[in-house]
Amino acid sequence: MIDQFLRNPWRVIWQAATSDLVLVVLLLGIAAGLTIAAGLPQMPEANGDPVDYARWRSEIQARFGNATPTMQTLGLFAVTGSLIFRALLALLAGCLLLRLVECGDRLQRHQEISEPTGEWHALADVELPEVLDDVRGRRYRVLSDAPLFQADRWPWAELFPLLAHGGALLFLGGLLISNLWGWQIEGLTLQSSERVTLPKSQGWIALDESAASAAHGPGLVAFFEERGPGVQVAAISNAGRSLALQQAAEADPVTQLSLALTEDQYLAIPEAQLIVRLTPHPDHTVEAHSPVRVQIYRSPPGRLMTETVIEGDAELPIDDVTLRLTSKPYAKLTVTFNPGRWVTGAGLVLLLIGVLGSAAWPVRRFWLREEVQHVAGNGDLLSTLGQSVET
Amino acid sequence: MPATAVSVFVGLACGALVAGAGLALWYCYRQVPGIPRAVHVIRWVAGALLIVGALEWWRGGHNPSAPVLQLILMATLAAPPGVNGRSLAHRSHVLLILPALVLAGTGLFWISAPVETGTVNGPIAPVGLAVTVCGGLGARAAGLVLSEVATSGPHVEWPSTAAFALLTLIAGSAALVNVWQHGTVWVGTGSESGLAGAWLAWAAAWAGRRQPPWLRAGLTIVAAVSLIVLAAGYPILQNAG
Repeated sequence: MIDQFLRNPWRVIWQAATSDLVLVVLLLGIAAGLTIAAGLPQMPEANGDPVDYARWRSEIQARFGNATPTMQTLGLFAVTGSLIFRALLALLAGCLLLRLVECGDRLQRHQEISEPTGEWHALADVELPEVLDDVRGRRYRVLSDAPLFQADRWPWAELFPLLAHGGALLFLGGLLISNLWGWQIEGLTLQSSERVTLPKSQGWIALDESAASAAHGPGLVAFFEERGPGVQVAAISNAGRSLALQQAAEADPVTQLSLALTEDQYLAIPEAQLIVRLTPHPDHTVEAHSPVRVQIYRSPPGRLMTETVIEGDAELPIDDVTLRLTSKPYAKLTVTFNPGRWVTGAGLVLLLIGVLGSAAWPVRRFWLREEVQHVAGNGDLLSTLGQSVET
Repeated sequence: MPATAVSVFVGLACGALVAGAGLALWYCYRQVPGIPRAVHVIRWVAGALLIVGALEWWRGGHNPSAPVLQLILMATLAAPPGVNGRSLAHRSHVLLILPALVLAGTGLFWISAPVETGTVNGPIAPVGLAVTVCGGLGARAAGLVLSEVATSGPHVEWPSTAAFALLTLIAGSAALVNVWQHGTVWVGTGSESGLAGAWLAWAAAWAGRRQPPWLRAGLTIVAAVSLIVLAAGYPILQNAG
């Protein structure tokens, strides 16, 4: 081995890098990382919601107690973002690239008949023409260079590993692209017919009137996390004048308020001394057009004046004020920009075809040779031929 | 432990598997004719008892958070003899029964887990069921490689190939759906990472299938354990409550 290395070090390195064993070690390392990530609560993204971060911190403290700092030092709560995990992915990509080159070379090399390197075994009770017919019937390709016959599954059996390696590389490339240039905004709440420009001018997104679908700028993907009821509120005096509405004491008065009922919502009509409470009806599942409970209080003294449940648009007269409520459902969205989406998808499709094809149609090559008194076999013999090997 | 119909069926199946393993061991020392056939029949009976137990558990509206259904279904797949059963050495049967026995025994233990009040079992979740089937095939593959190493028996590849192919389909289609719907492969759930981890472990076992038998067995067992743990924790019932 050392002699071989000294004679041709690059060849030895190439063979080691493309060996099954190296691939196995890398795959197991990454699998271990992902299994740990699945079992332990992982740290939310650094620029994410502080509430999520606080929730994660309290969860790990409660679950692991005094072991938490040690586990955190070991990086068990940030596995996929760790240097080791990324290094393993990079090494896997390198290994796959070299193996892809080798797969391509093998596909080309095995186009023609090759000389076997293994040991020949005498096969008892085997008639060569019958065996060759049987092998052809099993969709093997048979090449002959009398007296030598080679049976294999070229080109498909060699093509599937090529597809699997190429697909895996594309997949990793797609992940890299999305990691470098992609971004995601979670929990973006929009009300029907609302259009917003995303932070840092990263595009725009607009919800349709019924909050059923969203239009967005190019390259974005919007996923609906939840839908719920929302209301646009206006208060009109008997004189037909719009009254000012306030959501908080320090908020600027406005004549129209749009409220997404993600939770209980309150608003005040100071001129009429009214407080309005809006909540999704607790007896219904929360949907875009589910009923809304409206409670109106006189303030002071905080006495409930009226309570009703509305569905869709409604007008509620209270004393000399008419409350106009227009249904404006909301949707909570996750918006993703992933420039590597198509690369990842194409990689996944190729990987699936390659792996499933390899499982159904694995590489198998064997040679048969007509000898004076018997037939000899070499290579990965079919099980029927394997039973005929003379010991 | 409450004497429910489920525990009776699963308990009987465990007993049958223990008896089958005992008979197979006994046959190694005293070759009484008829024992191999009895072991075969016992393994089929255990499989039938387990499937009845699984159906009873599903029908009965038991605690859906306990992994009983997954464990029993995996044991059901691992228990019956395979098409190659007769060609294997008799010692092999002990090792082939072992995964099913461990899974059924663990399921029996979980049956006694406290029942959540007000829970109703919903319909079966297709992905959860497919992952469970993978786990069962993985358990079969683990038993076969164990017997291959211990008895130098023939190498039977179909359970590990089937488990890997099915797992590839599940993980690949889940990732494709995520890419299509969410725009990204990872949505951030633990089950996704677990599925990817189990797939990579099987991919490692698949890549190492030309390695020496002991290494191949080690890789298959690691992959099977990761898959069984994943399947046991994967939700198999849609919540109808």
